[in-house]
Amino acid sequence: MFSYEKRLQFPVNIKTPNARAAKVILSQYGGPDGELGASLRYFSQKFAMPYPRVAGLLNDIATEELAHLEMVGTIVQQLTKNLSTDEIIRQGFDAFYVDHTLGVYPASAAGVPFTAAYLQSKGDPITDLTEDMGAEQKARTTYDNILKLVDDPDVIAPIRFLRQREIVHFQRFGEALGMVQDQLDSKNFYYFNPADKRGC
Amino acid sequence: MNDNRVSKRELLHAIGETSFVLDDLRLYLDTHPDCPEALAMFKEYQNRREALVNQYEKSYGALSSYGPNEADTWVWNKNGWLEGSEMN
Repeated sequence: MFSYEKRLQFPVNIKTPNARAAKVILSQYGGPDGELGASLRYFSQKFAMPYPRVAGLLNDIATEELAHLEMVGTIVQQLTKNLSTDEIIRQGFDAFYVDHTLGVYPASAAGVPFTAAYLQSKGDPITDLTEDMGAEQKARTTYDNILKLVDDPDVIAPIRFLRQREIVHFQRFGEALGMVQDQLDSKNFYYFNPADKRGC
Repeated sequence: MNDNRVSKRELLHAIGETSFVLDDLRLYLDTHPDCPEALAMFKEYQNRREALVNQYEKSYGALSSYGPNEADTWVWNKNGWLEGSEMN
């Protein structure tokens, strides 16, 4: 099960609201390469992962992604706090406001609601870990793009932290893929699904 | 009033730092389970973290959902949910 600690993994203390920045950062809450999709992907994949060490890694990274989801939600909340109606309209937040007021809702920057179609759980360790490496890179690129769009140091610090974690997770998933490959049957030249006893 | 107490913010900061060392080491050890340096470092930071969390929970109530409640009222959900909020 999960237990909770009442703290953020990295501090978020934003003093200046900025609804335009909130709108793009929200994509890492419920967008195509966001933290919710990441957590749900790794957590779901662990059930069919036959290698205990790799299943444990999936569980640990899924857990950390939930902490990142909490950080992103906090960033969005602080960026939209105490906005005037005029700021909401001028900073392009009116379309979000009409549906969600200042609630944090899992959607992409373009307003597409979160969907499980953003992720896969294929029941094949090699397929899943390859997706996971791609997912970490996509999230890293998204944080790179966010860093080009924001200039507030209070926002940049936690976004940089999140970006660095994507790089570390990519590295760990690469190592996990190597661990799986090392345990393959020597006749399995083409990396057929080692979790499906039916073979191919 | 509480002049000798380390501030809540300072303690949380120190807990955040030591916890992060452990968060990163945990993933490293998941794929390098026999690395003696990482195992020793994990142990060291685990001890540091435990002392800090005990100190925090004595002054400010539970940090973890399994933490202590010493007051006559339930403190867990009283505050601390909105970082940087005036309602915190």
